[in-house]
Amino acid sequence: MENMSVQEVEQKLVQEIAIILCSEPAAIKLDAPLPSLGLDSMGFVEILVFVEKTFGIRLIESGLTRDDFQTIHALASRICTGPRS
Amino acid sequence: MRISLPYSRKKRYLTGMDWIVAALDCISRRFTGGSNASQIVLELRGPFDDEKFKSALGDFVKMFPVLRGYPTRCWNLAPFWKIPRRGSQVPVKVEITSVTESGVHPALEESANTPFSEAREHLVFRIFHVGADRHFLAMRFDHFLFDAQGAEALLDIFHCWQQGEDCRARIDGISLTEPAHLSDWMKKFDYGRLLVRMLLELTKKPLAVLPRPTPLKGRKFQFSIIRFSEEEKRAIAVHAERDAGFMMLMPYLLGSAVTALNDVFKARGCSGEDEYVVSVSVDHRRPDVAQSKLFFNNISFLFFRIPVFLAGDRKQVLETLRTQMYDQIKSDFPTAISESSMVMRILPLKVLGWILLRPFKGEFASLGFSCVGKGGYRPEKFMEATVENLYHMPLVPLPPGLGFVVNQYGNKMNATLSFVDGLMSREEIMAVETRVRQLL
Repeated sequence: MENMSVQEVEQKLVQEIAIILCSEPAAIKLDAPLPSLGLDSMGFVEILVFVEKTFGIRLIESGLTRDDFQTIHALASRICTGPRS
Repeated sequence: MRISLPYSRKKRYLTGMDWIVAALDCISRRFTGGSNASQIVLELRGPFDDEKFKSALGDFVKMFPVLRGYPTRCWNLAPFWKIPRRGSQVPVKVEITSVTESGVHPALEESANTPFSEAREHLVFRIFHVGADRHFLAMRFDHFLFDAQGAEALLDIFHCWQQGEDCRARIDGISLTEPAHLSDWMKKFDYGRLLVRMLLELTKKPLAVLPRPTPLKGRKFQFSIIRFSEEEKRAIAVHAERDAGFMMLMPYLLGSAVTALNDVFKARGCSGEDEYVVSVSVDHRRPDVAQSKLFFNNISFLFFRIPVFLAGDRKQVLETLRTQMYDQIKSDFPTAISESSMVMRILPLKVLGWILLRPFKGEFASLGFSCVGKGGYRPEKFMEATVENLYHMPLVPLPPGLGFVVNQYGNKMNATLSFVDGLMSREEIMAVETRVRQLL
């Protein structure tokens, strides 16, 4: 995690979201809002669980604000920034 | 050892979730005589040709002999759905009635409560004409064969096909195959262990339930449909994000439903020591997949615990729901139910029904809750008429015989409160409706 760039985190997120959505990774745009991808509350929590298991960050407790989770790119940047107090 | 069995067009193996849904049907029949069924209602505006609909439907259902199937067991003891051969008769009943505006809701309630006339009938249509320009189409379906989103998807494909659109690929893409799931037993037993541990955790405190009316036999279900306009729906989304967090609509709706029902439960004697247990059915399919996996049940469950003393404070309720949802998904609870239930298929339905009620000593949950996925019915029209709204009227299996179902259609949102007659009074229902509107 420490050595991962935002792009690498984005790739991992895209792969996981493709699995959750049963779609091709190529069909998932980095700058598309998460709700527009077809994710619901369950799918979103699945992503949060994936983030905790993969990157060791428990985002559910960090306040779920639109700015941090709006797009895959925003989420990847948030992960790279690390936990916020 | 992995056992591979060839697929057959006449056979669709049932999953553990299908078997649990069938067991809930068995329990409902034992208590009330009703079945585990539901109804989709389309509110239509514009011209509607009954004969054209009947004729189109007759031709359409011929492509789906699965609609006349029935459950049975294979030589390997796995239950399966026996599908009649292609070209078999698939009669689907269509009843047409004229009603007044005030008679619509009672007529829809009656339709939802009217049992199927025979064991192999799983789908019935009823059309209620309020005038030349206003109609209600009710599709009553057997939960054994469809879950809520799957039933909507069938209507979606019917509309597309009836419009003459080329939907051959969509129809051919409907999947009816399912493996027998007779391998990986250790994994299934491991999931079973996880499930038992979580169920034991759920039963630590006394369950808050509304007293059942007596006698139960023959009691019908009543429904209260709470409709939210485009503007209200938008406001709900904003409030959900503000109070529960980004993309937390489901916990927000569930938390509001629990808080709204809390006064009724407390007035009926539930103490602060009791705990609400809410079974929430969750859909495994993503919107596009719903169109190809529309038959049978693609759901699992989450279970939420809310102490009665906490339920009046929605902020705290939302906090606990969010954490519980996260923890259950992290521990793979929905998969634990669907995998371990494969083992339960060996049990006859009556025995499985008895076992499902054991942990709560004859109860199942305080209430059922569901948010229907958005991948079902999507067109703005049905036949030539405009669809003004679409909602669900499920017969929630008893116990608990009380459920809250939220669905979204286009820019609208509906919350259906479903309950067995006598469980709540008219005044209590009105109070819950008002409270839900205040909270959302």
